[in-house]
Amino acid sequence: MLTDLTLAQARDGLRGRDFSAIELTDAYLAAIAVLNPKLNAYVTVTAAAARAQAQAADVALAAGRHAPLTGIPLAIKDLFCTKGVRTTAGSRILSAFIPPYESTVTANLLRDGAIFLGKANMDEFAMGSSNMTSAFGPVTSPWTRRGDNRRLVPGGSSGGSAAAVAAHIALGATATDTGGSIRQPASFCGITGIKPTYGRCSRWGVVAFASSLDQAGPLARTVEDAAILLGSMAGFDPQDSTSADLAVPDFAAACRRGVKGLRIGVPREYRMDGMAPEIEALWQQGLGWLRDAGAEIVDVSLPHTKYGLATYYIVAPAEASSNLARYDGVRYGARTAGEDLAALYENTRAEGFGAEVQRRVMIGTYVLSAGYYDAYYLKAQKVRALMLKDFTDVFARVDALVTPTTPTAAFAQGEKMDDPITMYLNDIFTVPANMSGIPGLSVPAGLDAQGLPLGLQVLGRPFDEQTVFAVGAALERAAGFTAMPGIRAGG
Amino acid sequence: MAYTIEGSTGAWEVVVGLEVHAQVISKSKLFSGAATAFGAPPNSQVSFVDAAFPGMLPVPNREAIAQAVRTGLGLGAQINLVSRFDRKNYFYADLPQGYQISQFEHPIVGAGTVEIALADGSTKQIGITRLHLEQDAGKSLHDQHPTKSFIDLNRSGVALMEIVSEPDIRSPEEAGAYVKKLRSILRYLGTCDGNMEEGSLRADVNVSVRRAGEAYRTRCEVKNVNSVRFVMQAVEAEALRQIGVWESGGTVAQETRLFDPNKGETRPMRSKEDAHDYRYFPDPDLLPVVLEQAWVD
Repeated sequence: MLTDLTLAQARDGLRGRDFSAIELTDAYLAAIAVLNPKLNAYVTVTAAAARAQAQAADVALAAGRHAPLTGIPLAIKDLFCTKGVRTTAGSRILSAFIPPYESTVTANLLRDGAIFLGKANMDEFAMGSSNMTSAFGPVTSPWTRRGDNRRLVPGGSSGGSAAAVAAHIALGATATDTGGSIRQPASFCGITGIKPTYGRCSRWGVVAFASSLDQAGPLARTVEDAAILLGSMAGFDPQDSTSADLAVPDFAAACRRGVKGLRIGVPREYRMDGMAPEIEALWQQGLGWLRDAGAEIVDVSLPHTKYGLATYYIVAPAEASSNLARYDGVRYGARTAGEDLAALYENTRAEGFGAEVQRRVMIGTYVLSAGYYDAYYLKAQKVRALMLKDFTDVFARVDALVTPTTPTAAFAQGEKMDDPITMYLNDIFTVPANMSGIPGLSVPAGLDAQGLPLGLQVLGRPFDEQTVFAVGAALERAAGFTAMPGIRAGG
Repeated sequence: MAYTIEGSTGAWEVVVGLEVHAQVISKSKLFSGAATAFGAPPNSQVSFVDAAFPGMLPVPNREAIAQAVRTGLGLGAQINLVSRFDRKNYFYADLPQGYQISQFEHPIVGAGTVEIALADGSTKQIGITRLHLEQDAGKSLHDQHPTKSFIDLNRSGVALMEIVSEPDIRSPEEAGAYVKKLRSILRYLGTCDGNMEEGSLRADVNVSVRRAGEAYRTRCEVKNVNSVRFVMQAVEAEALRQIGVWESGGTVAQETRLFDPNKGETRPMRSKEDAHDYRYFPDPDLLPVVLEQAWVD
């Protein structure tokens, strides 16, 4: 089936004229029509636009002109503003918002010939680890536990993107990661995702959650596919003051480097109580694979790891409380009238934001308030500096770190919903990379006893995604992960 | 002879500090490329950044930063080679982002001095505490419709320099002389046109009164005074009001007031229940402003 091809294979097939871009896009659109009602991975499908883009791609391919992604059909997380196409951020407040501009990352993908199938569902304003907080309903994972047909979560916040890629209703997807929102759904859905270094991808045109942590990256079926996508998404953007003015290296080439002679660190603080024994076992197996491939395994310490989650849940809500102030019903977005300006704000935001967004706006407002700022926000920033120093010290001795991506496999819809803290714990291994700005990749490495995918995380030095890809590709080769979810195109 | 006001219980000294908001002469706004011309049709000079559309990001205007540094040098002030932009958070219909980008903890310009000349031929040094860059808000028009307010975002995001003086001013005459001198310095430097009637120079006047030799008493801030004459009148009116409060056994409460030039008096602007907690924090969309000494020179 055309939808079974990896991105690299599809690209080569298109260039070799084995099939056309319109055939490939139609195969995906047909699969979306069948599977999206089950998965709810897309909130908007742009079939007509996708077919028009595919026809243009075929004209280019016929003329022998091709860019890195010519004819490749992708899902776009609904956090990326797309010109003329509704962009909701998973929120009721933006449910009718049509941006008059294209985000830099999606513009880069269009420049490189990509085709957009539609906008992927997500947790509201990227706040969540389950995709249960979307105003457009939850996304269902294409995976189920063996002998148990309860619906599972795909992870979040990029759950629609991850489910679409895993179920083969997108060849790849854009996603964003503020505390693990690329890596955790990648792990839950048995696919690859990378959060690059902060500053590698422009944030311009991406609806902001927490500006100092937000970073865009790809979700894909293989490490190489993720590398190809990141190569197109990344790059300096003068419209984003925090964008890094660095050349984009050949990430895909880095996947073929191997790990011989690399020093791989194992942070002892990531061995936490209550972690599933099979995750511990998979971690050891992953380290064994790397040792067999010629890497040296080194025990290291990141002493401030234990403060990561608590400080993240100060910094991220603080920034969010300010970033979301603009959704006030005055200029665009949903408005609920009130008798005066204060009532307009209160009604609009009470109707427009879901419970989790409201909770985080309130937490953020609290920690920035007079009398609490020093105790919370300022202290969190100091801890953040110490967490970065932990990584800087360790990366003087090792080339990359390998850890589990999540403490558990995917959970069922409705599980972990009673207590937000339980949900927040899902981010424990992913948050430090955001707090420190370093790159992190999740690669599927095996299945748990119930047949659900588990991911390993590779962390690297700032702007050294190449080593991260090299280690990720080595794990991928050794793991030989070929398991597929029950729900998928042609499945 | 020092200026005092004779109350019913004796002489009072007047203590004044000024915060002057000066619109930077620059073709575009502080963080967007939109134009800044005065008198353009409403909402005709608004970029997606100024209207705070989702995903829009501020990019500092180098010319506005250069203008602030020029002004700092003109005031003989310390130029801070590292400064930072912070967010000042509050909700208002003419503040699209829900926060104003300003400089709170680390302003671009530090301490300086302005020398004023007085009618008796003497001169006096007025200390400058700091100068920082910030965005202007838009304009709310409440008189265009019986039940609706109109919003004009042309001014939203325009670069302002807030120039804060020490409480060194002791009379309406000194306050007027200070604003005039500051205005001529800004005009000479070409960093602000100083047109108070167009709102490109506005003053917040902080006033308190005290007995000779006393520590400072509570001050009140008279907002948005838009002419030299009104600044002088506001100082006198507010000082007289406070003296009346103290002499009748009351206590002056720290508050924000407005000057009404028609009645020649100040009145409270907002009540305590509306007092803002601005929740300042460093703007994570912006890097610190780092200047090189050679460029400043």
